[in-house]
Amino acid sequence: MSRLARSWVLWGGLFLVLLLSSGWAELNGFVSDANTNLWARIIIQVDGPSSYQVSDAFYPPIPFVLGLLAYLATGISSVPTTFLLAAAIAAAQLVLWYDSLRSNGSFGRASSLAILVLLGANPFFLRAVADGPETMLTMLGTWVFARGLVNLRLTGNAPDMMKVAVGLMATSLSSSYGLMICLGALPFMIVAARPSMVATSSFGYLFAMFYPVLASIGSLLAVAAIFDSNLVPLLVEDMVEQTAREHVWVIGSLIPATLIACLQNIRSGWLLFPLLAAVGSVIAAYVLNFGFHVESDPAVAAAPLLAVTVVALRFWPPHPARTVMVLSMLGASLLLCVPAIGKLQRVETASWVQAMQGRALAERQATLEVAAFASGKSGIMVDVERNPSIVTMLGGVEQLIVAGEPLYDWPLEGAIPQVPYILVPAVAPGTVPRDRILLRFPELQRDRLDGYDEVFRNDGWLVFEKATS
Amino acid sequence: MARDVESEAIGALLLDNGVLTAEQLDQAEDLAEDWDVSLVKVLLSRRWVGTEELYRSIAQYYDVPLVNLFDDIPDEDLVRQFDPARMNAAMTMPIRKQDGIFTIATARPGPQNLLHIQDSYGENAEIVVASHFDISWALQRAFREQHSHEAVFALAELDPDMSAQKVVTPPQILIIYLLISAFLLGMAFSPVGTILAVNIILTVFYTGNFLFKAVLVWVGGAAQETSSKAIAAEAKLLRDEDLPVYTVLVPMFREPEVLPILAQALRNLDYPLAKLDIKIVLEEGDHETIEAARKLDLEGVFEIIRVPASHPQTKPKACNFALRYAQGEFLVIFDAEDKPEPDQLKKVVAAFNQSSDDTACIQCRLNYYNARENWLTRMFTLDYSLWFDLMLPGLEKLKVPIPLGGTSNHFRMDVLREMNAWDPFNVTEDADLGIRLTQKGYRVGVIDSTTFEEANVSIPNWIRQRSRWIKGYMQTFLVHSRRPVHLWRSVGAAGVFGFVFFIGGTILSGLLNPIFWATFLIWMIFGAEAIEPYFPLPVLYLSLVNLLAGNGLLIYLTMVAPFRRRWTDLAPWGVTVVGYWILMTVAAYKALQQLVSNPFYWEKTTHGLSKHTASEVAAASSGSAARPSAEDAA
Repeated sequence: MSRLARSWVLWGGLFLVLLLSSGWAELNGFVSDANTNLWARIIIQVDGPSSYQVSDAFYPPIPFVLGLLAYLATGISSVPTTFLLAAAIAAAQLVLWYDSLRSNGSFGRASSLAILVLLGANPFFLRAVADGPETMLTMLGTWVFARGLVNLRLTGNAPDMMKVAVGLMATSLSSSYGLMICLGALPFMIVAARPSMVATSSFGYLFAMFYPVLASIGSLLAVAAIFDSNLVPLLVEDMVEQTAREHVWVIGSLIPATLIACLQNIRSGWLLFPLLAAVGSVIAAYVLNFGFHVESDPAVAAAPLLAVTVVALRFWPPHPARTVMVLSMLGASLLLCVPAIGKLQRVETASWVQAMQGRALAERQATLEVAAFASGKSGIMVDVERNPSIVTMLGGVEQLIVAGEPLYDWPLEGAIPQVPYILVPAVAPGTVPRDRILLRFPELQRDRLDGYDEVFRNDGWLVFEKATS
Repeated sequence: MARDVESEAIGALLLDNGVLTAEQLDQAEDLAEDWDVSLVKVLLSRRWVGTEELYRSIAQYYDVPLVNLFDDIPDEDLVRQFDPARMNAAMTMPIRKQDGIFTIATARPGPQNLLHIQDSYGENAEIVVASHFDISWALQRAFREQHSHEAVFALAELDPDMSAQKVVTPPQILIIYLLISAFLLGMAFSPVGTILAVNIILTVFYTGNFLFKAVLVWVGGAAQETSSKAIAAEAKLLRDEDLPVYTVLVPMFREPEVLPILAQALRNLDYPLAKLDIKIVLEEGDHETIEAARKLDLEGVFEIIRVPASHPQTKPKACNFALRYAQGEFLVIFDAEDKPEPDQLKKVVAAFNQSSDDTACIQCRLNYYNARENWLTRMFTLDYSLWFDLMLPGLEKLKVPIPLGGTSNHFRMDVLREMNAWDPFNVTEDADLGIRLTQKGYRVGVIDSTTFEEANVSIPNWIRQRSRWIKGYMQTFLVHSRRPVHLWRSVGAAGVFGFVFFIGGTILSGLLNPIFWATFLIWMIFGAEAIEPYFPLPVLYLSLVNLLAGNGLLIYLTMVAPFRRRWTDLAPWGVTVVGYWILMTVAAYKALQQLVSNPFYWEKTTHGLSKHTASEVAAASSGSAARPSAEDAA
C-alpha cells in the first residue's frame, strides 16, 4: 500500500471514530453553540429563500465557506455538516501530526501511532472536535503557525514565513478566539525571530508577519461594508465567570507536557525560543481572553496547546529513551486532563462531559418540544440568526419566515405582523432580549401583542398564533 | 603545472630588456603556474607591460617580424577564404599570399600553433607575430559584412519559427481576427452574455495567475537551499588551474560614465583574470564610449568589439556579433553597471559540474545596490527579489521554461552557438532564449549568486525600460505560441501552463488591470446595480475574492520577497505596490502600442542616474571599490 493510501485509510478510521464521539455526545443531548450556529447558517444559506438577508454574515469565514462547500458537495442533511466537517478536519490534523512525527521527527510507525492515540483521546482534543469546525480549524492554524515559527528560525526561507502568516491568518479567520492567538503572538514573534531578521528592521519583520491577518480582517470589514452586515458583535460571547481553580486545572493539565517537550531543546536556543514563543502565544491568548471574552469555555481556549505540543514533540531530539519518555509523558498528561476537564462548571464543557458519560442533557428538551409543536405548521416568523437551534432542530427553513422576506421585514420596520405564527425565545424577566422580534414587540413576553394569542410556552420558547377574527 | 620553456624564455627576455622587474616576473611566473596559463596570458592580465612591448618581445624570442595589422592591412579576400571561427580560436590568420606562400600572422607563435599553421596553410608559410587585438580587429574588418548579416539574420534564416522577425504569423492573425469577430458578434447580438463570458474567463485567469504565483513562491522559497550549499562548497574547492576560459560580454551604448565600475567589478571577480576573455561590445558609432574605454588603459584581457551599424540596433544583435570572436568555454553577459558577487563565475562552473549534461544555462540572481534611494528603487528591489529570489527557482523546480533575465546568464558556449544565440528582433532576447533552450531540450538552472545593478531612479526612464520588457514578453509569447502542439510536446503540460501564466500573465495583468479597477470604481460610485448584469453573484464573489484575497496575496508575496536577503525594512513598502502596478499598466499599454507601430525598437534605459553611481564611479576609478555584497545594498 502506498504512503498516500495508508494516510487515507488512517484518515478514514480516525474520521469514523471522531464522528462517533461527536455523535455519542449528540445522542445524549449535546450540540455546541458553535456547531448549532454554523449549521443553521449553512442551512439558511443553501435552503433559505433567495431574498434572505443576513445581518451577521461573514465571520468567521473559513468554517462557513468550508461548511457550505461540504454541504453542497455531500448533500447530507441527516447528519449536521458541521459534525462531518469537524471530524474530517480533526482526522486530517491527526494524520498530519502522524506524518510530521514519522517523517520529520523520526519517530517509528508504532510510536507515532501510539502518540496519535494519546493525543486524539485527550479530552481537550475530543472537546474541540465536538465544539465544531471553528475550533478545529483554529487548532490546525495554531499547528501551522507553530511549525512555521520554528522552521523559520531554522531556515529563514519564504515557505516557512508563509506558514507562520498562513497559520495566523487561518486562526484569525476560523474563530474569534483565533484573533486572540494572533494578538497573543505579537510580542512572541520577536522572541522567535532569527536575529538577522530583526536586525535591519523589527517593525518590517512584524509588519510582514501580521500583514495577512490585517489584510484578512480589513477584507472582512470591506465585505461587511459592501453587504451591509455586522462583523464586530459576533466576536464576543457572554462572559461566564470561572474560578481560578478551574483555570489552574485546565492549564495545569495541558502545559506540563508542552513545556517538557519544549525544554528538551534547552541547549538549542534556535529551537527552544521559537517553541516557547508558540507556547507563549497560546497562553497569551488565553490570558487576553479574560479581558475580551471571545471564548467563554476555557477547555476550548486551551485546546490549541495540544497543537503546540505536537510541534515540540517533533523537535524532541532523538535518543534511545525518547519514545518511552514521550509516551509516558502523554499518558500522564491524559490522566491529568480527564479529571481536569471534569472540573469545569457553568460552561458548555460541563454539558459535554455529562453527555460523554452517557447522561442525557435536559437543555435541548425545550427546543425539541417546540420543534415538535411546530411540526406540520408553516409561516413561522423567527429570528433565525439569534435562534439558530430552531433551524437545526427543524432541519430546514421551509416552515419559517426569515429576514429578507416582506412578511418578516415590514413588522420590524413598524408594520403590524401578518404572519400565521411568531416564535420567540423565553427570556428571564429583567433581561434585555437579543431576539430582534422580541426587541420590536416586547409585549410578546407578556402575551399582550394585539392580534396574536400564545399557543405554546415552555422554559425556552414561546409561540404565538395569529388570532382568527 | 610546471612552467613551459617558452614562458621561461620570454620572461627572461622581458627581464633582460628591462620591461619587467624581477619581482613582477616572479609574481607573474607564480600566477602562470597557479592558473595553468602561459606567462604571456598572465602579463596580458596585468598592466605591467604594454601590449606592443610584450608582442615585440615575443617576436624577438621567436625571431620573426612583428606586424601592425592596422598599418599592414591583410588581404581581406584571402582572409575570407578561411573559417573565421578557427582563425579566431587559434588567433592566427593569413595576411598575404605571394608566389603560393602564405604569410601568417599569429598572436600565439608556439609549437602548438605551428602545427595548426602547417596543417592549414602549408609547410612553407611565413610566420609573423601580431597582437591578439590586431588579429581580432583584422578578422572583424574582413568578416564585417558576413558577421553583421549573421548577427541579424542567422536565427531568422536557420530557424524562422523561433525568430521574432515576423511579429505575428498568418495563423495567429487568423486566430486574433476570429476572436475579435466573435467578440464583436457577441456584443452585437448578446452584449450582456458576451461581457459576462469575458468576465468569467478573465476572472478565472486572474485567480489562476494569483495561485500560480503563490505556488511559485512557495516552491521557489524552499528550493535551492541544499543545492546552494553544495555549489558554494564546490566553488570554494575549485582550483584556479582547473578553471575554464570564460568569456564576459558587456554590451554598452553611450554610457562611458559607468565603464570604471564595470572594469573594477570584473577585476574583483574571484577568477583568474588571465582566463577571462572580456569583450566590451560597442556600436562602432559610439565614439564617446570607445574613447572612454581606450583612455582607461585596461588590461590586455579587455577587448573592444565594434559592432557595425545595421538594423535593428539592439543589444542581442551586438552580442551575436561579438559572439563570433569569443574564446571561452562559457559565456556570461553583464551590463555595464553590474557588480557581480566575486565568486559568481566559480559558482557557475561548480553548478555546471553538478548539473545534468543537458544544462545549457545558469541564471544568477539580480538585485540592486541603490535599493533604498527612493520609492521606485524600493519597489523595483521588491519586484526583483520576488522574481529572481523566489519565482525563478520555483519555475526551475516545477520544470517550467525560465525566461532569462537581463544579465548574468551564463551559457555553455557550444549550446549557445548551436542555438544561433540571441534573437536580435526580440527586445527581451534573454527571456526568449530561455524559453527556446527549454523547447530544444536543454535545461536552465538558477543559482544563488547575485549581481547588483543600478535600479532605475526615474519614473519615465523606468517606464521606457519596462515597456521594452513587456513588449519583449509579447514578442516571446507570440513566437512560442506559434506552434502550440510543438510547445506542449517539448515542455509538457506544466511547462505550457507555466509559460501561459508567467509570460502571458505578466502581459495580460498589466493590460487588464485598468479595466477591473474601472469596474471597481463604477461599483463604488454607482452601486451594485450598475454592474450586476455583467457580474452575476458567483462571478461577483470570485471577483471579490480576486480583488481582496488575490491582490492581498500579491502584496504579501511582495513583502515576503526581501526576507531572503534579510531586508526586512523593505517589507512594509510592499503595501504600496499598487502604485507600482499602475506604472506597469502604463508600460504595458506603451509596449502594446510599440508592438504594433515599432516592434523592434529598443527603448534605451539610461544608466548612471543614481546618486550612488557617482560614488561607485569614484571608488572604481580609484581602484578601491568595495566588493559587492548584500551589505553594500543594505
